[in-house]
Amino acid sequence: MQIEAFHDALALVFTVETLAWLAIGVFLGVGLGAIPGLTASTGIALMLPLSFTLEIAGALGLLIGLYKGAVFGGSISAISFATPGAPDSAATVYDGYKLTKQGKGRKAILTALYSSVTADTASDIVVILVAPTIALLALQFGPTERLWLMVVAITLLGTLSGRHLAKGMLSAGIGLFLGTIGADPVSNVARNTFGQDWLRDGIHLVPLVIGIFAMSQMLDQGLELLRRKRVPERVQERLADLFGKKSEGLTFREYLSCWREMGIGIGVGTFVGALPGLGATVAAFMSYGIAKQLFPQKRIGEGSIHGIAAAESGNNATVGPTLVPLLAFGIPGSATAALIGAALILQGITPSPRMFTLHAEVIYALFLILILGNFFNLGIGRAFAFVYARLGQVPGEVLVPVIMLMAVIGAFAARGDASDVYMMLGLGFLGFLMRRAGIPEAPLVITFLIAPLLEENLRRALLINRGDWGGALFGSALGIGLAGFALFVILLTFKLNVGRRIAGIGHAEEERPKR
Amino acid sequence: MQGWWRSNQAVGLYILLIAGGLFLYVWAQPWAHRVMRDGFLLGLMPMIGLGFMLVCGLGMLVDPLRREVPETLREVGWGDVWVPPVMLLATGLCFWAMSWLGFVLAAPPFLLFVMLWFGVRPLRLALVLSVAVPVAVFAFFTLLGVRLPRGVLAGFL
Amino acid sequence: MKTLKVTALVAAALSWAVPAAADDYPSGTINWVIPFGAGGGSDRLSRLFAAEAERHFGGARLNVENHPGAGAVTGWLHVLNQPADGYTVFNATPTPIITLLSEEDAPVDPSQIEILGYLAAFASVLVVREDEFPDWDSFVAALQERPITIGGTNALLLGAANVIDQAGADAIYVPYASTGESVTDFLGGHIDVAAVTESTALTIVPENGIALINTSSIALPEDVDDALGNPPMARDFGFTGLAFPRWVGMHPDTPEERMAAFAAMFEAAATDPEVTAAFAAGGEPIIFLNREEAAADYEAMVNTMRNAIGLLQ
Repeated sequence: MQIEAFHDALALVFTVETLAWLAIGVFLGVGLGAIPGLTASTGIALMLPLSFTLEIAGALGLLIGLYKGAVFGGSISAISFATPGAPDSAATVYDGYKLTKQGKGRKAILTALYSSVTADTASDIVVILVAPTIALLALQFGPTERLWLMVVAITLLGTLSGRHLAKGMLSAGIGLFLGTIGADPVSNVARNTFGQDWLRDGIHLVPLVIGIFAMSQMLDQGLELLRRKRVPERVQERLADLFGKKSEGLTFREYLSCWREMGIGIGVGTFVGALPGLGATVAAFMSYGIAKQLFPQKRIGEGSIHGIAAAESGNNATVGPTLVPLLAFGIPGSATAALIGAALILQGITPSPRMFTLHAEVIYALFLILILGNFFNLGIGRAFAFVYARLGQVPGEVLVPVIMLMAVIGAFAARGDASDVYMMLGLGFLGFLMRRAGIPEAPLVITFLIAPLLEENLRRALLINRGDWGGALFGSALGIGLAGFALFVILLTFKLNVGRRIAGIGHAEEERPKR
Repeated sequence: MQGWWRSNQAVGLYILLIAGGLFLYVWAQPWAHRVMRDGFLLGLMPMIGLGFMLVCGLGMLVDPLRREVPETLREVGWGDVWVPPVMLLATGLCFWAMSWLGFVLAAPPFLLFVMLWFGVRPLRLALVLSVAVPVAVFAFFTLLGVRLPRGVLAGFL
Repeated sequence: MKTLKVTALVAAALSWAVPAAADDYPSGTINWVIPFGAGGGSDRLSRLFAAEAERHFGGARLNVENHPGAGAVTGWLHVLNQPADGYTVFNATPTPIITLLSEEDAPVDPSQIEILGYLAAFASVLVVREDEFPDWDSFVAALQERPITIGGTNALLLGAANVIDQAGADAIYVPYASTGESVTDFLGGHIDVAAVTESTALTIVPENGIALINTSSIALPEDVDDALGNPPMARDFGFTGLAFPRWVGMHPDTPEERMAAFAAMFEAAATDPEVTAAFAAGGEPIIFLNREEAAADYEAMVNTMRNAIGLLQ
């Protein structure tokens, strides 16, 4: 029976049509993902009407290919232009853009591609083998456990704060404050909106990331361009040799040297992806933070391929597992999974626990497409890497205005809300001021993302436990375990950093302000 | 103490002033003291965020790095005060124009202005780029199925 | 806000430039405004409707416009800023109404729209574990005895709170940002009851729970009702139910003959077998209510909601 279904699935997937749609999906995905503001879910929403007209396998190929391509694609512009294509690539900016500035853009994009594909494939295999087990484990994660998972994520902030702890924490405070703008999660009453109705939905993540990371960077670079001496011919010359020079690739040895970071990404991404409501951005930052914490000698954050590997394997490892709740219970765990669920419904297949018996061949076809999509991603991603790595070398005088324009379109295209664009511009200025004062941006984005989730889950846990804090925080063995883990991370941070910090203080005392 | 205003300690003071002002503003709002059905104050979380910022500002006044001037603040001049706002204003104007002129008409003047400002020469190159880039972007987006604002050209595109 | 007004002014100027005579309505383009962004459920259904039903609108083109933001109120304000000429239609859900009723000084009142029909309506279905609460009476008895937790998104909790309040009981309403999270917590045993739409309920029933009650004022399509085991409705216990309609309305100052003409065309489109078949295939069957029925239900819904929102604040 199952073997028969598998044969049917092979016949469904290995047709010219299905493979062609899969390739088109990956191509569109990488292209869309690389454009700031157009995320995987926007891309899938755009292609949904087209998918209705296709056979089931072709539709799944198009959508899943698009999803995989888009999650990788976000890293391309993060690396080439310091403009994350989607929020889940924000953690890639640090190391990626530094490598581009050193002329190693191609190496950085290839690292992102290979670690994305490796982690994606590994997590797909995990999903295929143990989807029901992961799903059951995810069910154990109620508000209390999720609350502690958020605390663990926040304890990783210390590693992203840089040398000056107070500034890192300040950035976290700003993120926390910005995250409270909007409707109260329990009562749905507007709070902290400064009396402005348009702030009622809160600040959207896409304009925030584009403003803080991309726009502020462009303001900075614009200033630098105006400051340095103008050599008129330079622009034309540099545009001309854009397609002449060869840039450094990635060796197999370097790829292998990232195995620990990819392992972390696979572990974190697979689990975070299977939990509803968290998503690829949380996974990427957690994976990046853990890698940075564990391997200080690798100088992650200073232009290291290991940082890219950690962040990119973290976000791509969520792709397959996002479908776990959909496959196991028929519940979409994310916006993207909901859209893939909608495509299944339109094909006459309602996602539910019955799907495995009623439409076994479709499930197998889905598994095959998940795995095959990675190979397509590898091939198509390489072609894009080549082009984009060169675009990253376009002289700033041309690149900065174009990226500013793309930032506007990106902030607008994500939701079609004009206020998002003005918000993005304002946040760009905030990001610029923070840059000038030497305040890191990463903690801001993390608390902006995590603090509202932490608050929601804490208040939910308190509601469920009738206001009893003991029960809400330590009501389950798993909750206590996670709390212990958070404590362990804090102690580890302290132990690892105390030595360095003492050295840093000594250094600071010597280095008096210049007179 | 020349240049003190660029030091971390000074930055801490600015933060204290801004966060303190915001805290007083939130505190003065009636909504901040409204109690929700789960017993939480509506203003609690915003005030925690601001409290956090205040603590960090205080920390910067007294911590060991207080005398240091951040590298990025050493060369701050008047350019930092007016250039970013002008860039933002130009971008904002471009977007505002987009809503009625459409993308293809609103983007070239913006690109031309910024490119010339940043020193793209000769003029011919700047002109060609500022027209070609928006057209290419529009074509690429249309190919991907994303509709950019078409404005007054709606009938032709 | 300022830009919005300016844009509206420009748009208004443009549309006055080409005045449409009363007798040839509709001609040209009817703007179908939804207060949500591209890619969501409302967007998908509106575009499906525009594609399938356009031919019923007297040669006019249906153009879906997204005006998201401010808890779905931006779109409403946009519609009121357009000329009341019958060429701007507002297609929304209860989301903007919930926003308006939650605010102390809301920019508009939910009555500032003329309802011309319902395209669909989803229900808040309470799903429970059968061994805990085999039926409604045992559920109400349990509510009197101990605190019971009900999870769901804000709108669906309103449906639950509405009937439980009318039964003279109270529960602990646990709000969730998405259905995925609330259902996971229900399946994991962290909450006692999940308030879900009928389509989500279909994925839980019968394996992991039973449909205890349909809190809506509008009946479910027959096949869905059968698949859910024909749960009782709010009115079976003498309660006023609460439906969550995808309603269609116009600027209240629109000339009556144009509104009547539109309502008639809308009815013809929504009852066309080809259109209903397309929607059924999309997993969201059309549940059509004509202008009179819809207007009456809308008024009752706003009143019921006003009370229920107080229970959740």
